[in-house]
Amino acid sequence: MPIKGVTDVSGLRDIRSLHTSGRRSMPKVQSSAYLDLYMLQKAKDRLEKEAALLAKRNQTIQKRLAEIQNQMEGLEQSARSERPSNGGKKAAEPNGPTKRKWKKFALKY
Amino acid sequence: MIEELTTILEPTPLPDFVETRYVKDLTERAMGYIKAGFPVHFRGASGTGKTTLALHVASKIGRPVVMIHGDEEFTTSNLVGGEYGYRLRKVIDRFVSRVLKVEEDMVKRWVDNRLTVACKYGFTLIYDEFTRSRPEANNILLSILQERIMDLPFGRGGEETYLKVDPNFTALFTSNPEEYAGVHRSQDALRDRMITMDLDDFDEETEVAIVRAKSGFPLKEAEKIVKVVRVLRESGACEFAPTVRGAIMIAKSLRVVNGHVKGSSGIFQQVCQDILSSETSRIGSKSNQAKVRELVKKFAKQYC
Ligand SMILES: Nc1ncnc2c1ncn2[C@@H]1O[C@H](COP(=O)(O)OP(=O)(O)OP(=O)(O)O)[C@@H](O)[C@H]1O
Ligand SMILES: [Mg+2]
Repeated sequence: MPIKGVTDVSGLRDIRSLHTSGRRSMPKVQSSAYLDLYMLQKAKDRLEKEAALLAKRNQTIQKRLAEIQNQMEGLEQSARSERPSNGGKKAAEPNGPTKRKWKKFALKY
Repeated sequence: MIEELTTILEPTPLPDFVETRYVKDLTERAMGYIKAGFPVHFRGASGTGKTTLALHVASKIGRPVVMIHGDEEFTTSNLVGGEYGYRLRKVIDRFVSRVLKVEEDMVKRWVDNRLTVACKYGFTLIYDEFTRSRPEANNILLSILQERIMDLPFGRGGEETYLKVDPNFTALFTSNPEEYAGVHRSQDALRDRMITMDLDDFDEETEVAIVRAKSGFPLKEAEKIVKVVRVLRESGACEFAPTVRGAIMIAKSLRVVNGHVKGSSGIFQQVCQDILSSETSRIGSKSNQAKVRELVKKFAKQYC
């Protein structure tokens, strides 16, 4: 089971405030519907903007994650074949799975 | 990443490489020992063609080649692979302790060196002038040559500490005799594991062939130059006997100035003096050098 990190713990943003629960200290008046509408519209605009930003951020994150995954797979493979414990066996079969490209240098004598 | 740091060699003979009976015979003998599974060691004075012969034999074996040159500074980890940098891992743990905790986690990473690469992939190792390395540094070779196991010094990140040497692995050694400056007595145990072939100076035929091939002089001229060098060598007057390199140098230098191999030619005499009387002395003992100068002059007149 993964250990709980910062992101798994509920924080300040998760507390329902007077603001988010829509309560007021002042008693409700009829004419305040317009004010409520105005306030909610504001909040809606703000949250929509934030959601759009997050979606965009999520997109970049997913893209990067896919890239990293790809890179890691490639590296893990070469790391595994580099290990001396495997190398001894693989070298015995020159046409085995590890065909590497060596830097070559013609030495004339 | 190991292999990225190792370059493998492909020895190929130049057009001026000569294969006289002498060279062929040595090559065949060495190949025989190698086929029998033994490492071969060419031992001989400077200029006897050890390095060239080792390269030639290696090219006959036909496997990729890695080459090491003996060095006083070598340690086993130079031969086997060293720790190459470390990873730095920072743990920033502000949430729990509210203290910035930086933990440096040094993960030692191994970079295999040429010897390891050769053992692992069954390449041919040429260890040139191996007695110039301190004997302790060469201890690693004992088990490689005998048990065909390579001992990797302490765990590589918990990996195995042994490497099985590939059956194709072959080792060729060269060394100068032990009286040379800067040479360590090779350990007896190591020498016991290889077949040592003592090389003398080339025979006359080979020396002439080499000089001809390298300078382009006709046979007669090459023979004369070689004669002067050989007679001087056998005179015993030199602190260091002149080698085939001296003969090559004379021939090549003479070609450049369009000189002739003639005892009466001033240029020829000058070139012989420059090359033969300084090459053969270490500190330049005045009295001995004068003697050598006289001899060079005499032999150049007599044989050319
Ligand atoms: N078969 C050959 N054909 C042509 N040239 C040769 C041959 N063998 C050796 N030579 C030349 O002779 C010279 C001496 O050879 P080499 O360098 O192999 O000697 P060495 O024994 O390794 O000397 P040192 O102990 O000084 O390293 C070189 O110039 C080399 O090119
Ligand atoms: Mg040499």
